Amino acid sequence: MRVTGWIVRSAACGDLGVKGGRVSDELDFDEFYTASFRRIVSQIYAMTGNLTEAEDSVQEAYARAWQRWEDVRRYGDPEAWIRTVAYRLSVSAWRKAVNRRAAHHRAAAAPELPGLSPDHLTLVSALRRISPDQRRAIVLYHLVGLTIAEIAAETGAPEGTVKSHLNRGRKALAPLVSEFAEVGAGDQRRPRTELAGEW
Amino acid sequence: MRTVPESFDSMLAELADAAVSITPLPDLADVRRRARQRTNRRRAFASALALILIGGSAGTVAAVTHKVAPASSVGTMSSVAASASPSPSASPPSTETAVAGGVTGAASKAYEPLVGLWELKDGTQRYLIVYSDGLLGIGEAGGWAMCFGQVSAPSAGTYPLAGVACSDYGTTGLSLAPNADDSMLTLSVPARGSVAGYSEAFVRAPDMTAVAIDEKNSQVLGTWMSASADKRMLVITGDGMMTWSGLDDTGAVTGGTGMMEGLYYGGVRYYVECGDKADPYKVCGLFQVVPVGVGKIIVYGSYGPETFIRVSAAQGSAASSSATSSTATTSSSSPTASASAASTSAALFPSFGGSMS
Repeated sequence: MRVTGWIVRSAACGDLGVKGGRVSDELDFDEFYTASFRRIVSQIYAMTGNLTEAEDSVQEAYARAWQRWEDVRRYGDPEAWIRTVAYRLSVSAWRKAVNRRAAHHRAAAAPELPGLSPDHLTLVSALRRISPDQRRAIVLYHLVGLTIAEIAAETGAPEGTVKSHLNRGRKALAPLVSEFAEVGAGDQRRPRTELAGEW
Repeated sequence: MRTVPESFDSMLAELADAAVSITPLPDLADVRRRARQRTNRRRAFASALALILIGGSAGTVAAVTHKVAPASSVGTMSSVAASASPSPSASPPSTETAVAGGVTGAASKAYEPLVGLWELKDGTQRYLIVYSDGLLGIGEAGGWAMCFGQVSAPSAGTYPLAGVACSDYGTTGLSLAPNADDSMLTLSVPARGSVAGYSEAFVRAPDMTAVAIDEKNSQVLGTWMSASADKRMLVITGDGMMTWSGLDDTGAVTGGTGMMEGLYYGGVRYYVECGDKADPYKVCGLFQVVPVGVGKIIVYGSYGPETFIRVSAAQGSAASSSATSSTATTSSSSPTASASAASTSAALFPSFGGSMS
């Protein structure tokens, strides 16, 4: 299911000179931004449960990427860089404090994702019940489609810790997600058989 | 209880698709404008820091009229770069759970016996601060910013420390243990090389009263100077950034930048940043800044609680560049919190460990 949707072009923009390189950078960045922005927002939203904050943190992450695009574009997976920075921003205590204050001054909060089905609402509710680390691992694995090793690399946690987060997250979700019922009942087997070898 | 009947992967993908469908794609110009603003802020801070550093090397600060505590500052300054850099695992907690405690008041019970400000029992000037989210700051010789670590879950009454970035204490094997009534804290430091293991006893430091912070954090913004002979100075701006500087024991000016990270203890916790390409958010230490009156803040660093007086930017520059400057006055432009803002703020900022607010 993994969808990166954007491939880093490794063409040597430096050959075009500074000005030409900059133009190429801009085109690269534009393409990357257009292709990935909303996808990353949806991933951060699934990790944090707050769409407005997800949009803002992802936009901030792109701004930071643009500042150092020459470096970021050379990374193996700039989308992962954006996602990591956006996630960190979205869980920043300072930003939360600022946003909380802003919320106090808003007359009413806009409803998020209007028209969600009952199943979706149940899923959102379930995700909010597990720890942030578990939720991040679950989303990276089940939505983004990363492997255990890739999640470990992105989160900076050992692979064993990632597996633990996934297992515990599934157990916590088991009462609400029928697919994980067996996990919650003590069956440690993962439900996605196609990646069974990684566990 | 309702359960999700379909494939979890599919449900999650549909949820994400729903988010995608209602998420507008912001104009790229907005993103670039945001990036330019960030660049300009950083340049402004670099300029401010350069000003401080250049000015600071010219003479002695004699501009600040008074200092509340501590009475002496015998420690030395060292540059951020020279401090022990934390490993990636030493990064501050970035989870909602970890950071929420201090902001919302939902402090973790796990750290309750440790939370607060502590000072060495033997009177040596060394302080330790434990936040409600388990983050820890420890003063250490050779640096103004407190080095930091993370308190782990207790085991048999002992709290191991993780992610410690203290050159004085090493980085691994440290632990804290409170006594029966939580009035004393023992820091156990393991043996390192030829240095035998030892322990230090901390007792709770005196309480102090912070004034409420308004919504713009006006009470901590501005240019701040201490009466320290080491010319310690802070510049804190409304975008959450801080520049700090001071003299080391050789008389050289050192300093760095920090970022406002969270609201704790009636004040603000700042991370001292030393990010690089591999980890743009690497943190080397922390400061706790608590407003205690109009134009006055207490800064908790390795020298313990130290009072800073707000000066105008021009005064700060002049004072640091002139050995003959005499008395400085606090800035007449000191912002004053409105009563309504203060009351709102008081509700938003929980006390730190209950004993100090």
